[in-house]
Amino acid sequence: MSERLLLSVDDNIDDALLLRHACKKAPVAFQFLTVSDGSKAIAYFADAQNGRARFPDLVLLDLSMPIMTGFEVLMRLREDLAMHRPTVSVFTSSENRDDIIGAYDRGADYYVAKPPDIASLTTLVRAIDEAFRANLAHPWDCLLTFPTFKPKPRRISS
Amino acid sequence: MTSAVSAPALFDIEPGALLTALVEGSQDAIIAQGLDATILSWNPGAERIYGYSAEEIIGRSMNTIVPEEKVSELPALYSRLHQGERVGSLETVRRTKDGRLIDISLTVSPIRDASNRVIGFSSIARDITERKRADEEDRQRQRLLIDFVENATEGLHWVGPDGVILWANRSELESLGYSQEEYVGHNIAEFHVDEPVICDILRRLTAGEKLDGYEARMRCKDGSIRHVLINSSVYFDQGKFIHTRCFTRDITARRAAQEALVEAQEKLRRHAEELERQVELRTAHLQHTVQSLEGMCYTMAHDLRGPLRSLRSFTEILVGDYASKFDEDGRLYGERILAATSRMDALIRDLLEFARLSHTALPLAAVDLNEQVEGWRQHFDHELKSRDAQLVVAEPLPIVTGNRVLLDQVFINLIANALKFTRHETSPSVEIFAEAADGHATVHVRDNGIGIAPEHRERIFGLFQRLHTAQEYPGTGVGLAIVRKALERLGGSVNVDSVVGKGSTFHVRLPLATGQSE
Repeated sequence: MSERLLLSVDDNIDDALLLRHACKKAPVAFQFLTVSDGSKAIAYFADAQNGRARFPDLVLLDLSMPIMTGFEVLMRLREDLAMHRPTVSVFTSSENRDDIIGAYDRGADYYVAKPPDIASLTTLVRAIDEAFRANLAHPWDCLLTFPTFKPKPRRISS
Repeated sequence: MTSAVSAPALFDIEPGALLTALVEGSQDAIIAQGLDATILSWNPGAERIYGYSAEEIIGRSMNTIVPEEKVSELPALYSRLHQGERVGSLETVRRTKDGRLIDISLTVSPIRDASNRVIGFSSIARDITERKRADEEDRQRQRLLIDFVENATEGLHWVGPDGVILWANRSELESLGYSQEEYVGHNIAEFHVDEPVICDILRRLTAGEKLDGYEARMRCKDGSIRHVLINSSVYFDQGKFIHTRCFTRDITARRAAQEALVEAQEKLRRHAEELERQVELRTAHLQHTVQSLEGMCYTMAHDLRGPLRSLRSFTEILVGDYASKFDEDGRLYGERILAATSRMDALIRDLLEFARLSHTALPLAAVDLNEQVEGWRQHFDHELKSRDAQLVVAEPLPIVTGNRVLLDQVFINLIANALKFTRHETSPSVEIFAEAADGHATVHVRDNGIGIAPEHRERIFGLFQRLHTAQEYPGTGVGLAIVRKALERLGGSVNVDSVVGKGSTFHVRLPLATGQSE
């Protein structure tokens, strides 16, 4: 079993720091990487496609970002059929119905609300880590045990 | 008797006697006078006209019956008579015995002797007072008629069969502004604006039709146009068209007033429409503004939670993982920050809830409140037990038209409010009961709490309105605002009765579900 990689796409430095702290605190065995904008995420996927970077096992995607929003990232991933598609969970503080429906319409696999405190966040990353360790077929289904919005959930066959 | 006398018999009578009979029988005054004007004979006609008998007047001067103002006529009269001239049909005035002045027609002839010398005068006078009066009356009548015709406010004219104006009254000339010469003698068609109209008028009149209120337009000399109503018929003499009898009434002012009225009404209608349109526009604009404000409120409340989450999480890390690096005060302050973030989070959550009320679509359905009661109980399970509180629901509650989520929000907020505002040493008791009337249900939520002073009973439904410090009774001041807003969206309402120190009762009014008996 190779080391798993989680990519966080979030322009909010606070949230990135908190995620890093939670991963350290848990502690988790997976690798953890943050890019601060949608366009950087797309660039990273292109690199991974060309073998210049590791392909992420799970992407936590924020929605409201400058330059390229989470929606645009989802659409780019859907348009580029040649690209191997990572599993993407929206990771946002928005509980707006339009955002939830919009994200699933654009191909998001999960929609998870950002936990309001550090304890919940730690629990979340620990659950992901445990799922990775157990080498489950769909390790990210553990996300479903968290405050998740699922008007139209769908699974990616691995 | 007269018929028995044959004509030849008359010739047998002596000429003098015949003459005497003629004079005596005449209705006229026949008088003979000498050259010095002494009256010599006086017939019964004279007595009848002048009032004097023959006995009293014969021998007196003829001047007896001449009024002073007529004495001056006499010298000329006598001068002509002396020359042997006969003066006939002189109209003059005489005075009667009782002083009346009478009009007479006088014929005076000289009387000659055998040698043809003028020796006196004979006069025959006829009383024409009556005739003169009748003439004067005729003239007066004519004057009145002329005045009536000329100065009537209605225009009058005659038109011959060829369309030529034969006569027009002053009123018509003045109203159109033409002189007699410019109008009379011209064809009437020249003065009509609409040729087909005057052709039709003449055609109808020629056919013997009477026109009653026929509308036409005539052109004045100054070019302006008058609206007229024509009443007319033709004067036929033995079947021959002599002239029309046209009465023309000027209705220009009336028409102008009518048109002004119609125009004013139209203007008013357009104004009203414009006003309505503007109101609609502004209402739409206002609704849009309110919606975008509500949307903004929602977005703001949402965006505030981001930094708050950071604040809270980092403080948790400091207080948890770095606790050993702080002294006691430092740890206390950390806890204070956490408590503040919790309060702020509650505030923002409530605000979001409130904003969401006007922000989201709201499906309405029949909601059986009885089915909701268990959920309310569970929501307060812990608090009811820990405070030894009672929640008594007098079932059955009505089935109302509403929205399950919103109605839960309403009643959970009201129950929370009832439990919260109870003196800490008292066991709270909350009763819920209902009644229905006029298609509406009223659900009452009664508590034994601290009550609300009358001056605050409206204020408590406002956003962020709090009557107590957070130390006394914690809360964000949003709960009852949510209750009111939710009920407004459901077509219901809420108000409160209260006795300070005894408790409050909130009355929730909701439309009954259709088909529900009361």
